[in-house]
Amino acid sequence: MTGKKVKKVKKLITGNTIRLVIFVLVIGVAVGVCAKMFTFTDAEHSNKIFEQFYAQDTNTVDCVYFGSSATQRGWVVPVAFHDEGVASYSLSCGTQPFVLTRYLMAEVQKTQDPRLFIVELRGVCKGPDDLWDVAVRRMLDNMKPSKNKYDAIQAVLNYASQGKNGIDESGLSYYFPLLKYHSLWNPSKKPHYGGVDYYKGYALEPKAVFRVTDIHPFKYNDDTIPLAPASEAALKDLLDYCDSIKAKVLFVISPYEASEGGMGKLNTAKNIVEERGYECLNFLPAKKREAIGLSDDTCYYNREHLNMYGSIKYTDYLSKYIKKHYNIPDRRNDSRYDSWNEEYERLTANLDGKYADLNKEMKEKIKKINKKNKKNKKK
Amino acid sequence: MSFTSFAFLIFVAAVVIVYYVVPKNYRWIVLLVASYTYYLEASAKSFVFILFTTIVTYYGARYIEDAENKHKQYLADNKGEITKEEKKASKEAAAKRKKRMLTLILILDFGILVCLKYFRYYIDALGIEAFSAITGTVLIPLGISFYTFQSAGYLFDVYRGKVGADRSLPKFALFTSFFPQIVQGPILRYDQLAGQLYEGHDFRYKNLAHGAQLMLWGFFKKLVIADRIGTLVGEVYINYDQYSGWPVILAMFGYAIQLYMDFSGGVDIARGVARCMGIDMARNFRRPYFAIDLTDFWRRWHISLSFWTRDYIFFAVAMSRPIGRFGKKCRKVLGDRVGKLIPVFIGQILVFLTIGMWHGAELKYIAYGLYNAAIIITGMLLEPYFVKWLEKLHINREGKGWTVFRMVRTFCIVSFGRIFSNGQSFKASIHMMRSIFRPYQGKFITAFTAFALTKWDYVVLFFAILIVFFVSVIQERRYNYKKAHEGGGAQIIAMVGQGAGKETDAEMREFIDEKATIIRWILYIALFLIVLLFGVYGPSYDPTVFIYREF
Repeated sequence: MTGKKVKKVKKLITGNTIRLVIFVLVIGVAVGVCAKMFTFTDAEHSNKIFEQFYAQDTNTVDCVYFGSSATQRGWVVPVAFHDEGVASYSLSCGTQPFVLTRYLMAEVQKTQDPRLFIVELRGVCKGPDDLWDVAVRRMLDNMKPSKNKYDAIQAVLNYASQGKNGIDESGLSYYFPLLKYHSLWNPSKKPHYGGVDYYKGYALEPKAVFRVTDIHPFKYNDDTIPLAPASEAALKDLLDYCDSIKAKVLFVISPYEASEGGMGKLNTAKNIVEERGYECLNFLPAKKREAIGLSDDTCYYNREHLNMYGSIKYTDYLSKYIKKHYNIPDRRNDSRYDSWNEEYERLTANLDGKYADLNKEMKEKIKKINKKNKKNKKK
Repeated sequence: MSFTSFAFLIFVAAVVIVYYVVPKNYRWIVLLVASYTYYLEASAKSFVFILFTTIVTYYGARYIEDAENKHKQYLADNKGEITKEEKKASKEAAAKRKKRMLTLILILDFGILVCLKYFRYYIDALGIEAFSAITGTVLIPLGISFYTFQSAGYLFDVYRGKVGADRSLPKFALFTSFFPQIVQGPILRYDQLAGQLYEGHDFRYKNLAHGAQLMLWGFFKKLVIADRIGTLVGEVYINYDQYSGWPVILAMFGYAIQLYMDFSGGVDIARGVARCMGIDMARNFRRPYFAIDLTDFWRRWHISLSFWTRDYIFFAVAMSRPIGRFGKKCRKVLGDRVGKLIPVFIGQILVFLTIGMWHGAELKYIAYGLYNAAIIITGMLLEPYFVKWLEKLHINREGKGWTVFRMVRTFCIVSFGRIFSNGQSFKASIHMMRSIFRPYQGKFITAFTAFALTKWDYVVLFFAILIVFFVSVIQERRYNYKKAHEGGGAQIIAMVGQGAGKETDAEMREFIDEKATIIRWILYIALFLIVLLFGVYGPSYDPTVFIYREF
């Protein structure tokens, strides 16, 4: 080839390469914009939990609480701050996969330096067959892309039962959520927003938390039932991880109407946790619940969840407990923590404002029940 | 590894990179390794069948060519020394050997096809349990119809002396298994494809760009249109006894659109992949729904199969001596015009029976083939009367209105006939055909909302089909213009006649290439985003469902 020809070929290759690179970049930007526009969304707007968490000022959260919907509704973050000065965040979601807990801890530690992690143990009762795609997505699809997210996806894929509950076995749509959500351009596929308010992870779902339901828990015993092997492995893996981090870890079995099977599994989990030297607060025994003022007929909105009235009692007890036993500082007079105060004000304003009627109705109902109970006692 | 899976895109990207990285002489090896890897991944258990067909056809063709060569050598060696009779005897002996080998190989190749695809159906249908147990364990090999027909075509061509027998078994193995076309075709001729596969192509940016464009267009047709409309079609065809009237009509036309978008989309992806490596695969469709009659339709639809059956079945039958003699007898009985057509009719029936049965063994496919043959034959028989009626009615046969009417009429005939091919069974198809004429119990609009499609899906479908329609109009106009003004038509038709369907002058990419860079980029990016957002894919999507993959 002559020099002229070589020059021509070089020019052609360079020109085409530049064109190709620019084109790929433009496509990349377009895909990026679409990925931002079409992301996880559910009726509870669970995506807000992570959005708000990532928006926290660095190293301001002293305590992070992980768990399922019971945690979301049971731990009232603004109340814990207002009453005890505990700066906490509830990084929980409905049916949060227990297997993800250690990855959530790792995610938290990227931007925060918490003194305490609280882990709700209920999730450990759910085996691989109970792992649902939507529960996985509530967490994974809202996590920022990172090595930790990649590891979390791998953990889910290893844990999940094959071909069950809509889990994407290829994992592709967990890595590229747009594969799942691209059809959200269609307005009819968007879920109807249920009106859940978030206060640093505390989920106030007005249709639920103001209800009052009588629950009938089994009489507590300390019988054990083995966990699913994968669940036990996940728990042990979490405990190994807990051993390796600076933050302290407290495990909790929050109050609810546990089934006999669930109770046995939780006892097993509790034993494993305690054998490894971690504390586990168990609210299943009636005495324990009564000690903190939780009554079975006024403090729940259904068998699994505390209502507004019950959750404030629970928060009150637990915030005092962790402040005392885990050395959580009181941040009420620190201006860096104003956002917690703002959340409390927003919560009270809403309770007295848009939820006033529901709140009043709940309180009246509780009053009636208490009155009736008193009468029955006298009889 | 379906064409619409992420894994396939990665696979193609890897193959294209390796193809251009290795020295030119070895590029065909890359294609062979890629093709066998693809096949093993998709259908490892039935790999032995494609291997068997390849080996048997390869040696069969060599034997046929050798028989011919030996005869020629004998004539050359004994030039002037042998008598006319000896020459004739040698020729006849060679022809006999060739024919015997051709028959044997065809029996072996088609024997596998018949055993695996058809025989098992009849065994199952007849409930012969002893055999059912055996046939039930064997899977239908991926692309068996495509590679069997392609191999048979090659064998016929060698037999007729049109092409020489391939001298390399590995290279021939590539011809029978080239991965982009193994799933859905097109069924290509040896002289169209083999040379291109064996030759190492230089890297050209344009090839890569054009390949990517074709693939994108294929994805658009498959994911945005075919898979969306499939929801509606599937519901009605599966629960056919629950619908009547409008929903059935919707499903009938819907399936016609779905099948075209699915099949042509798949072929576009295949052609695009090949194009990225500088390999030109012939078109398999030429805007079939612009056909003005059923004969025209079959010149535009699944061109490679239509022309395969024409060249190797129709001509072989209609021009054979016994059928010719039979035609002559018929002329005496039925008159000159009809008698002349009898060999053609026999050929048509056999062609359409083959096309029908190519899809499967069930009665519904036979009915589908015969339906097409019956309409074409009826049309031919009644043609003089039609002409007279049109004259009486003063209808301008050259007018646009009449052409559009014929297009719509053909579309309706084709769509109606397709109920046979997509129905659950022959009985179900007849039931559906009857249901069309039964009234729908509800408002017209509820016929649309009875399925899992939202109103927004219909909006997307409407605009997506409109895009395909406009692109088709542009292509058709360019094609007709070339035919009329540049004399390219004859050339095009000749190429199509070879089964090539090589309609290079009407390629949309040339039309786009004429536009400014910014316009082209806007078009590409827009199409990409349309596929990305409006495509039906994701975790709940089954990417293995390509309709023609099943055939």
